[in-house]
Amino acid sequence: MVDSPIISAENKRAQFEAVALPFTKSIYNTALRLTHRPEDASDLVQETFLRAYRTFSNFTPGTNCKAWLFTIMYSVFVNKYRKAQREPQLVSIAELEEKFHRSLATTEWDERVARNLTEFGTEVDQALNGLPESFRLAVLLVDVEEMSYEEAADVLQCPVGTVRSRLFRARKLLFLELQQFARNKGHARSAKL
Amino acid sequence: MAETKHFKEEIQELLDNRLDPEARLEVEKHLELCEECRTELEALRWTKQFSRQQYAAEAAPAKLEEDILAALNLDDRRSGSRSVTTWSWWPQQRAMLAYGFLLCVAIALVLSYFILREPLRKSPELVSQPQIPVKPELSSPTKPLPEPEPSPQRLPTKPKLSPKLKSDAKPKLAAKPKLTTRPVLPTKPEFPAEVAQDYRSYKAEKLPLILQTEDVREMEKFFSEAGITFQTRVFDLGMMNYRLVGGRVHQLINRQSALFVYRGEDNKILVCQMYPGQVTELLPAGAVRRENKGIEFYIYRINGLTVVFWQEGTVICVLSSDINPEEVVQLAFAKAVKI
Repeated sequence: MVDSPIISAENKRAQFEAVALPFTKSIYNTALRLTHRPEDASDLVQETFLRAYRTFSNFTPGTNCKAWLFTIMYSVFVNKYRKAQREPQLVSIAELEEKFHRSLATTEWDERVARNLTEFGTEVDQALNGLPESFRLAVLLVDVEEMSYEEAADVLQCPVGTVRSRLFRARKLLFLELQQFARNKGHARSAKL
Repeated sequence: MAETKHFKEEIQELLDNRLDPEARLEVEKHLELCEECRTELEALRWTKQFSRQQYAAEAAPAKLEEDILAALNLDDRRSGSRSVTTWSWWPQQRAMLAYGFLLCVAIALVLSYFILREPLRKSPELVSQPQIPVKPELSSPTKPLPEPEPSPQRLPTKPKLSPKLKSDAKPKLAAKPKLTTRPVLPTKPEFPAEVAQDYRSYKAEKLPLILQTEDVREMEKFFSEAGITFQTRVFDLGMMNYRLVGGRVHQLINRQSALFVYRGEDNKILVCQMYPGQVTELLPAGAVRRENKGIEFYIYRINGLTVVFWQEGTVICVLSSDINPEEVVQLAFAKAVKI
C-alpha cells in the first residue's frame, strides 16, 4: 500500500507563493469589479488565497492555477459577499439586437472615441458596472483575463454555451453603455466634427 | 432582391478565434459582402479591446500581498507541522489512533490539574498560552510585553485546594498583598483598562449585543443608523477563522464607541471597538509600541488580556482578547489600514 507523498509545510508554502501569488493583481482586479469596494476586494482576495493555500494539495501542478484561483474567488464571492441578487431587468435579445444595430447606424464611434473614453479613467468603469453581474463576469474573465470559454465556464460553474450567450449579450450591452457614456460626455458625436 | 442572411453568433466566434477553418472562411466571405456584419464585428472588436485596455488596469493595494503572506503565516502557525497525506492506512491504524487519543486525554487531564492548581503562580498568559509558537521575526523586536498583574477575577474560579496543595502554593501567594497597594482600577478611567473591562463584561454576559449578525455590512449599516458619526470599518476575519457575532453602540469613558465581537474556534472571543480620538493623546504610558506597515500599534497587557490600539484616520481602533497575545497583535497587523 503506497501513501501519497507527504507535502511538507515548507515545500507547500514555497510552491504556493511561486505558483499562485503572481495572480494577485488579476484576482484583485476582478474582485474589485465584483464587490465595488476596495476593502471588500482585499478581503475577498485574502480569503481566496487563504482557501487556496489550505486546499493547495488538491491543485495539480502544471494545470491552470489562474482559473483555479478564480474558481475559488468566485465561490467565496457568491457565498459570502454577494448581496441578495438584484440582477437588472434584462432586455430581450431581439430588443438588444435592435438597440445595438440602431446604435451602430447612428453613433459615430471609432478609435478616437476609445482614446477619449480612456481619458475619463475610472469614471468609465460605470459602463462596466452597469452590466448585470453574470455578464460583467463573462467580460472580465474572457476579454480582460483572456480565459477561454471553457475556463470561464469552469470558474462560473456553468455550461460553455452559457458563457457564450452571456458574452454575446454582455459585449453588446457594454458597447451601448460605452456609447451612452461617450454621448453624455459629448465625445461620440464631437469626435468627427 | 434576395434577403441577406446575417451572421450573429458566428461573428462572435470569429472574433474569439473559435471557428474551424471551413466556417471561418464562410464567415469571412460573407463579411466581404456585408457591411452590416462587418460593422458589427468591428464594434465588438473595439468593445473587446477597450475592455482589455480599460478594465485590467486596476492596481492592487501595495500591502495586499503582505496581508496575504501574513494570513498564510498565521495559518501556518495554526496548522503547525500538519502535513497532507492520505487516509489509506486508516483501517490498520485505527486501534493505535484510539490508544493515542486516550493517552492525549489522560495527559490533558493531568496537565489541566496542575495548571488549575496554581493559577497565581504563573502569569495568566503563560497558563492559557495556545499551541501557536511565536515566530522570531514576528515577535516584539526589543521589549517583551509588560507583565500582567495577577488576575483577581480568576480567584473565584480557582478550584478548592487540598491542605497539601495550599502549602505548596504558599510562597507564590505571597505576591497577593501587592494587589492592595496597587488598585486594579485607576482613579481616573483609562482607555486600556476600560476596554479590558468591556471585554470581561461581554465574556461574563453582562454586555449585551444590540444587533446579532455575521454580516459586516449589516453591522456597519447598524452603526451608521444608530447614530455613530464616524465611519466604522467592521473587519471580515473569516479568513482568520473568526466570525462576527454582533455589536452595540457603546460608551467608552467619554466617547461613543462602535463595539463589535467575533468568535473563533474553541470559543475564542475578540472584542473590537472604534471611537473618535488620537492615540497619542488618549493612551496612558506603559504600552509596548510596535510598528507594522507604517502603522504604530500600542499594546497593553492587563490582567491576562491583550489590548492593541492603533489609529485609522480620526478613529482609534482597539482589539482586545484573552487569546495568545501575539495572535491578537497579528490580527491587528493583518486588518489595520493606514489612512
